[in-house]
Order: sequence, then C-alpha cells, then structure tokens
Amino acid sequence: MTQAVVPFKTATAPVASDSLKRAGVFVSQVALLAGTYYLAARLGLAFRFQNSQISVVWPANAVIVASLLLAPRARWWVVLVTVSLAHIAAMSPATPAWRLAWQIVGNSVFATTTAVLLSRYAGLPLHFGSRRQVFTYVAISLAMPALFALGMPSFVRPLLGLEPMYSPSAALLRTALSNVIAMLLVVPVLLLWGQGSLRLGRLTRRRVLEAAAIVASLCVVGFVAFGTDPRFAHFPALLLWFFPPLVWAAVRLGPAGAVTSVFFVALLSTLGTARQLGPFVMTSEAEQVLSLQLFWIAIGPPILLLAAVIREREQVEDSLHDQRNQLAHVTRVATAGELSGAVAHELRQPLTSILANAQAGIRLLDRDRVDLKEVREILEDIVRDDRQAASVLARLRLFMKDGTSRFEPIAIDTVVRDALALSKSTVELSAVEVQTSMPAGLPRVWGDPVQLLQVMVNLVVNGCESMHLTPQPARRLELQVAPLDREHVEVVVADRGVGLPNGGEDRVFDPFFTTKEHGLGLGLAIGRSIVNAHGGRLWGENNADHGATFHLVLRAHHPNGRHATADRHR
Amino acid sequence: MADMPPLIAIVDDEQSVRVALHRLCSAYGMTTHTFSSAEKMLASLDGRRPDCLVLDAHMPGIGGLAAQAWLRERGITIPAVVITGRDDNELRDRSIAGGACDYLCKPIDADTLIGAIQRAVAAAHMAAGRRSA
Repeated sequence: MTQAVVPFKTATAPVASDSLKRAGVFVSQVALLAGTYYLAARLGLAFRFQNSQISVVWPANAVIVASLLLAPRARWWVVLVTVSLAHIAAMSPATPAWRLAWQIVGNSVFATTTAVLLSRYAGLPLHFGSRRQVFTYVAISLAMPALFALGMPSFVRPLLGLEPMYSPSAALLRTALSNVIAMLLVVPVLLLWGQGSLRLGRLTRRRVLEAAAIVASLCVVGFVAFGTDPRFAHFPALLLWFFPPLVWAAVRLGPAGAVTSVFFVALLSTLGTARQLGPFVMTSEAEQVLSLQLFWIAIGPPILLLAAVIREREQVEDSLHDQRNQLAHVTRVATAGELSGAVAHELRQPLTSILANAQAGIRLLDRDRVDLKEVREILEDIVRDDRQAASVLARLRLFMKDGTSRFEPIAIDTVVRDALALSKSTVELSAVEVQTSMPAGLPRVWGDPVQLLQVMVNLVVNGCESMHLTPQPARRLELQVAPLDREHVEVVVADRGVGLPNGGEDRVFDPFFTTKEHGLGLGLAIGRSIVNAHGGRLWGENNADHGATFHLVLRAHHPNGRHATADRHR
Repeated sequence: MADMPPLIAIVDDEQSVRVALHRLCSAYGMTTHTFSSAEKMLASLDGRRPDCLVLDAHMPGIGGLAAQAWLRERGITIPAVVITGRDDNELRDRSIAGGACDYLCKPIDADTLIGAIQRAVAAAHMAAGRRSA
C-alpha cells in the first residue's frame, strides 16, 4: 500500500476515516490469512501418516506461497510472522519447541525462495495462461519441495540416527510429495480465486450451466471410481473417465476452471480412499497415499498445460479480432476522407438555405410593418436546415467511431438506408439513380452496426464509381434486401459499371487491389473480413450484360437462438 | 416598365434552397418565380419572360449549363446567374463562356447574390435600350 500524499489544507476528517478504512482492510486480511493457515495446517495434520510427522498433503505451505505471491514484497514479513503464529497455534501442544522452530524456519525459507523463484522465472501475476508459465511453475513445484525436504527434521533426524524407527529415504519422498501436491493442486486454486480471475459475476449463464455439468460429471465419475468397493473399482480404466470432464473444464472454463476441477478430483479421491473405497485401497497405508499422490501429479500438470494452450489460442484470436477492428477503423477513416468532399457538398445545401433565410429575415425586420408570421416561418426553416446539417455530421462521426466492436441485433434495412444517406452526395455527384427494394418484416441480423455500415457504404460508393464511363441515363444502382432462407438475409448490390476483372472476380477482394486512381484498395478486402467475422459471406460476380453484382449474406438473428459469431469473447 | 420590379426565375432542385432564395429576393423587392427543374422553367417562357435567371448548375435532368445552351440555340437572351455547390474552375469558365453573368458558390451572401442579379438586370436593360434605340 502506498501512502497517499495529502495536501496541507485538506480537512483531516476524511483522511482519518481513510486510514481507518485501510487499517480495517489490513487487519481483516491478516485475520483471513491466519485463519486460512490454521485451517490448512489442521487439515494437513488430519491427513497425516499414522505415527508420523508427515502429511499426505501439506496445504499450509501452499497458503504461505500463495500469500507471498499475492502480497507486495514489503509486506512479506507480515505474512511470515502471521503464519508462524498460526503454525504454533495449529500444532499439537506436545510438539517440542525446537521442532516448531525448525518447521517455522524451514517453511518460511521454502515459501520465500519458491515465491522469489516463481516471480523471477514464471512471471507475476501467475495466471496459468501461457505454456511457458505453466512449464516453469511445474518445474519449480517439483524441484523446490525436494530441496526443502532435505532440510526438514523428518529426514535429517532419522539420517542422524535420532529417530531410528523411520527410514530417511521414505521420509524424504513423503515430505517432498506432500509439498509437491500442495504446489500443484492448492496454490493455483488459491492464486486464481484470490486474484479474482473467476469474476463470477461476469460469467454468462451458459458458462455457469457448463460448470455445473462439469461438476456433476466429476461427481458421477468420482462416485463410480472412488465411491465403490475396491473389488469393483480396481479396473484401472475407471480413472481415465475423469479425463473427459477435466478436459472439458480446461477447454471451456480456462485455467481457473481447470485447477478447480483438478482440486475437486483430488478431494473426491481422498474422501473415497479415506473410507477404504476405490482403487487405491491397499494393504499398506503408505502405498495407498503414494498412489493417490502419483495419481494427482499425473492429472494436474497436463490439465494445467491444456488450459494454458487453449488460453493462448484464445488470446491470439482476441488480438486478431482487435487488429481486424483497428484495420476496419483505419479504412473507415480513409473512406470518410474520400467521402468528405461529398459531405461538404451535402452541408452546403442547408448552409445556403440558412444564410439566405436569416438575411431575408433581417431585411424583413427592417421594414415598418413586420410580418411576424413570415419571420416565424423563416426561423422554423432555419431550425430544420440546421438539424439536417447536424444529422449529416452525426452520421459522419458515428462512421469514424473508434476501433472497438460491439455486436447487437440490427435491422439491415436501417444499415442500407444509413449507407445511402452517408453516400448521398457521392451518388448525386456521380449522377447515379438508386433503386432500392426492401420488403417489410425482414429478420434482424446479429452484428456490429458501424462495421456493417462500412461494408454497405463501400459497396454503394464502389458501385457509383464503377459507372463513371457509363452513359448517364443507364447509371443505375440496384439494392435489394431479402431473406435468403430462415437463417440468412441477403443484400444484393448491382451496378451497370465496368464490371470485375474477367476470370478473376475474386481479385477485387485482395488487399491493395484497386482500379481507382485514389483509394487504398482495402475497402473490399476489409469488407470481406468484417463479413466473415459476422459468420456471413461477401462475393461479387459479373452481370450477364453490364456491370457487377455483389452479394452480402448475413446470418439472421433469432432472439433465443445461438449465434456462433466471432464475438465469443466480448 | 422601369418602375415594375424585375421578375427573377429561381431554378433549384432543393426545395429549401428554392424557398430561402425566393424569400431573400422578395425581401429585396424583387418578384420571383421558383422552379424545381430547368425543364419547368423553360416550359414557362411563353408567359412573362423573367428579367434574370438564378440557375443551379447541378440538377437532375437538364442542368444549368444545358438550360443556357437551350436558350441560346433559340436566340432567347435572359441574363443568368449560375449558383453551384461546387467551386470548380472549369465549370466556372464553361458557365461564363455559355453567357452566364456570374458564377456564385453556395452558400451565397445576400449582398453578393442581390448585387449580381441587379447587375445582370441592368446590363440586360442597357442592351435592350441599345437595341430599341
């Protein structure tokens, strides 16, 4: 927490309440940490080997590592002091002081060095969303507990012959594994939930249903594999049935969903095995525990890695999506530049009327007898013309809107009308006659209104410009909107211009292909990429006689239906 | 004849511009007829001939320049002020060459427009005076 710089003359009351609030947050965080550590340590003790100091899993160390990773480094001492006190509280009063001290120092050194290594080599925050981070994390999670186990009393004392009833190598393996499990299974859950990566409030209903289905299938598999008699459950293939729901979670719910599901599987398998059910029920308890641990280590990292790979792919898709939107924006600005002459022309009409009306009005007011009725009519006309000019500017501004994309249900006939309004002057200056046919009751389409407007403006302007050699009475642009089938709406734009290059009709969609003297040659290329992102199609063909026809097919939007479009991440 | 206010024919396809120019000319004491197309104006020439045309250069159908050519071919001389939304030197030259008295870009200030109309009417009167003398 950084100290806010407070100017001298500020009233002290809000400052006092501010620092009070901060102190409150601090105290509650410390209390939460102490409580969590205490519970984790008690849980670890509950999963202890009989007659041993070593646990199946030592989640308390996971709590320290996760807290260090979440807290700023300047506060690490608070974390270490808090967990040390909680450690003393959690351990049995019979534990000798030297053993407690050894454990506290050992745990602190382990957690601190692990946190430092993770922040240096895996990179913070740990989001488990990249392969590199997951690899580094798993490597550190395997190596550090092994080194840590070498320094703990459960290994050192039998080695020195002080506790001869235990084998030092078995103690080493168990201490190492219980911390490996803590690192692989518990820390990711604590971190991802602690960082708020789940943003439960932002989950769509669909995702919540999927998560529920995953939990349900894990429960079913868990019951069959770990809730049945060992004689039934000993089929090794039963364990493989955990993979479909785990893979599902990794693919659809991201790293947070994946680590939580793995943790859940660990929980189910522990519950079953503790009741002497499932495949890991063996004569020796040590073997039983080892089986569980090896099972968890086998499922954890691959699922984490899968979630990371999927997340990376999603991020690549997202960045492509952003780039396409930015490119669409750039070409839109370029188109607006090309339209600007025509827009200026369009503004001249209302400006001409406004000026003439206003000057006529002033002249009328100079007369002896003022006809107020006429003056009112003049003022009303000025208002109307001014609004018209403002709407021209508003359309242009909307068109130049920033590069973000927003999908919504839109009426395609409105898009066509707006496109004609935006290119009105271009159409008039090219002396093109526009014929539109738009039946009533067209289904809506699901898309970005500005980007679809851009596509339509491009088609209209291209159509007009292709006709500059066509004799004037024949310069006709036909626009038709019609439902293609239940799922699609088609917009057809037909001109009587020079047509498309013969045999290479699709080349007009290549970037930088242009037949115009000015223009980037990106209009149709970006148009097609916009339409593809809408799950639609855009193509052109030559007419039998003159000119070309462009077809734009878009998916109809059914309010309760699915729309498998590129706005998946929005 | 000299006391009679001059009759101005305003030809513009934009209704709002037509009405506004009509008001302006009326406020300056001129009598105006408005036409939404050159064709309608040309068809009306059987009645009282206007003393001056205010012609929009760009209209669907016959534009300002074509209307001037049409009048010239029939030996009808009515002074014309061409108004346009495009400041285009080539169009200006062609308009002046076609006999336009003035070529004005929209939006047009009242003084400029009224001055141009008055000059055009006066020049026509002088020419008519010379012819009748």
